[in-house]
Amino acid sequence: MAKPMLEVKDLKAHFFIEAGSVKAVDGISFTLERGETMGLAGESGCGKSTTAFAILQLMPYPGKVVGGQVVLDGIDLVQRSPEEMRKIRWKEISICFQGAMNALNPVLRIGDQIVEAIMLHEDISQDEAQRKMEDMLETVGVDPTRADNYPHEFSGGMKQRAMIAMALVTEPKVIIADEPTTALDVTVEAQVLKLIKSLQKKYNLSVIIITHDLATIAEACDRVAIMYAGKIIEYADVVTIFKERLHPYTEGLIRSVPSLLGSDHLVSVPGSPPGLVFPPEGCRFHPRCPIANELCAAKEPVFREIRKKHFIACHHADQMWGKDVWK
Amino acid sequence: MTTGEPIIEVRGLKKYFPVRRGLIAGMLSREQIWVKAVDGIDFEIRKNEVFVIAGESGCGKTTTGRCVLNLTAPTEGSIIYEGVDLATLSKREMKALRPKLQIIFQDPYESLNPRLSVFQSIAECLQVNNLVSTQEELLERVKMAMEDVRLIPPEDFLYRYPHMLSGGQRQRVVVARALVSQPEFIVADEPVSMLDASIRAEVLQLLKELIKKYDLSYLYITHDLASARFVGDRIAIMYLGKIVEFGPVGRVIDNPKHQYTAILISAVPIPDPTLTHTRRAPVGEVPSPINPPPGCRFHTRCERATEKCSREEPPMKLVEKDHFVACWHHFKPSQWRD
Ligand SMILES: Nc1ncnc2c1ncn2[C@@H]1O[C@H](COP(=O)(O)OP(=O)(O)O)[C@@H](O)[C@H]1O
Ligand SMILES: Nc1ncnc2c1ncn2[C@@H]1O[C@H](COP(=O)(O)OP(=O)(O)O)[C@@H](O)[C@H]1O
Ligand code: SF4
Ligand SMILES: [Mg+2]
Ligand SMILES: [Mg+2]
Repeated sequence: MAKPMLEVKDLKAHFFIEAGSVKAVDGISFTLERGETMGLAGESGCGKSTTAFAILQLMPYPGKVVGGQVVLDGIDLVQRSPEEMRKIRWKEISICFQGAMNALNPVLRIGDQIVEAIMLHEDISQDEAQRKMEDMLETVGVDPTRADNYPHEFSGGMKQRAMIAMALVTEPKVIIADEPTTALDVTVEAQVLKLIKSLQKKYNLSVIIITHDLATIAEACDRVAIMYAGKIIEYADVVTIFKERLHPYTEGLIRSVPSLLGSDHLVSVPGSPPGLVFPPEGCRFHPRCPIANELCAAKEPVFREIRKKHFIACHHADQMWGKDVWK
Repeated sequence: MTTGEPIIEVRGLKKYFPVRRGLIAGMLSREQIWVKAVDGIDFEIRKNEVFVIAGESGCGKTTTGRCVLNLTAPTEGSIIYEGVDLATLSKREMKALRPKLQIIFQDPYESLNPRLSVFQSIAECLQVNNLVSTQEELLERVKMAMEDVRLIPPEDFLYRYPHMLSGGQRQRVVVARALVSQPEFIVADEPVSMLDASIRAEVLQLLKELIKKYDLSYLYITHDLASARFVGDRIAIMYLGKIVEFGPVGRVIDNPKHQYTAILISAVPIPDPTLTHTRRAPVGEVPSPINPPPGCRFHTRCERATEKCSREEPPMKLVEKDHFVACWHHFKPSQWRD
């Protein structure tokens, strides 16, 4: 088998604040195959964006990667110097930051921002970069004649397209899209997801889509990792997650969302996600879990492969089959 | 179940906001330009129903909600509540009605004063309107409202400040604050859109339960059709300041008559990867509400548009029991299937 595009092994990234260390990413592992789209889902504050920053070695202050490996096409990024990382970032792996609306520089023309990104990473002339920028805008469905507009002259959907153009223009193999559709209307969201999918095929990209919206995941992803309080608690292909999930949190999360097709009863998970300076002992979900027992409060469940390519961290996963724990 | 009797009737509601222009533009032309945020809509909200207004951002939902409670003065139109046109009332007269007509805003982080404790926030409306005579009664009423929204035991929360509460708890305080005066009608403007999924469900469920308990009626404003279906009885779909379709929520979602409604529905992702549901996206983007297209406002993006659509505005007409649509070429029963 070919080696995976990206392997994240026991990655830890914490923020060091006065109150202690925020264990935003606390030992997560997954692999992303070539040409595959993975969804990273979970509620706000569970560590999704921090995961992206840690993978790219772009941890904002006062955060640091404190352990683990990020192996991109055979190379461990955690070991790279800032110099080396600068070359790898954008050329090999790039990101569309959360909040495209604010990630663009408001005082620079859209086209110039993209040209700048190209020139920074590629040794080509201004004219060539200009041409490349125009091609890329065309590819993402923005009229190239709008290149000399400023960000405020773009609608939300167009800004998101411009961000995607910027992330792709350096021809990376892996792209991370952090909440690419969150502030968008469903109609625009549908357009943006369609675009991401078509670009993925066109360039054989490996994609990580970060979102708190499960419907987006169902729609766009091959595999799904569910995060809770700094940990990945379940990881499997998308059909398994939606049809044969085994983690009580995944179950609660999916059943808490009303369906357009109608739903009589929604599951509500009691309480709220824990703080990450002093996360709960044992399984981090145990204070909210309907089937937790003493074992759950005392011992952290191991993240294990329960069936082929279905990973889970729960002491009682084996007893979850066909049971409704959220009645 | 609703008796069908209206609690609020909205007739010919319009709200235009003046567009502020630069000095030069202002000197060149004296004509005032307007954002037609809401441009002539009619509906009534029945007793004990959840009436939903749904649509994409900028279509005029919030403006409608604010006009209904006269928090924003309508440009035109009337809002009849108990025989009185709210649009003609002064700020003071409206304030006196506030205990009966409440609003829940979108963002629990912004709508709670960070310097007020939970008790103070909830008690405020009762105090301002002299609805209680003693301190004991005040505390009793506040605690009751807190129990209703399951901030239990109330003693644990009474003297906390917003920053000491989770998002779900904050939104419960906001709901309790609206409930404490025993209102008849509540405008809930995207009450769960800022909340996490695991918490959203409990607030939605709560809003639904309170209808029965308190004989309430809601105007529920949302961009999320799935939550609309969950809480709503009837739904109005807005596009560029107009209602394009309205009717019972299940019927409108399962059997839309307007091309725009159909597209909006098919654009909603279904959280089931085994369904071969292809999301459709409308072409282009919503035009500006400053100069909305003539005729049917949707004609610039509509697959079914004809010449007539770009000239004449389609009237609202009844297509089946309780189900109305404003379209010259609305779907006939056999035409809506993908
Ligand atoms: N710069 C920072 N300083 C301290 N804590 C932070 C910082 N950035 C994020 N965090 C914390 O790390 C956790 C994970 O945040 P984040 O990765 O942004 O979550 P998500 O993207 O899933 O919403 C949260 O508890 C958040 O408060
Ligand atoms: N105070 C205001 N001044 C000027 N324009 C406004 C104001 N409030 C809303 N608008 C405009 O009115 C339209 C409808 O806005 P709104 O009612 O907030 O829509 P929604 O709630 O459906 O997103 C938008 O084009 C918006 O920009
Ligand atoms: S390990 Fe225990 S507490 Fe954690 S999810 Fe499984 S059953 Fe619940
Ligand atoms: Mg994030
Ligand atoms: Mg609004």
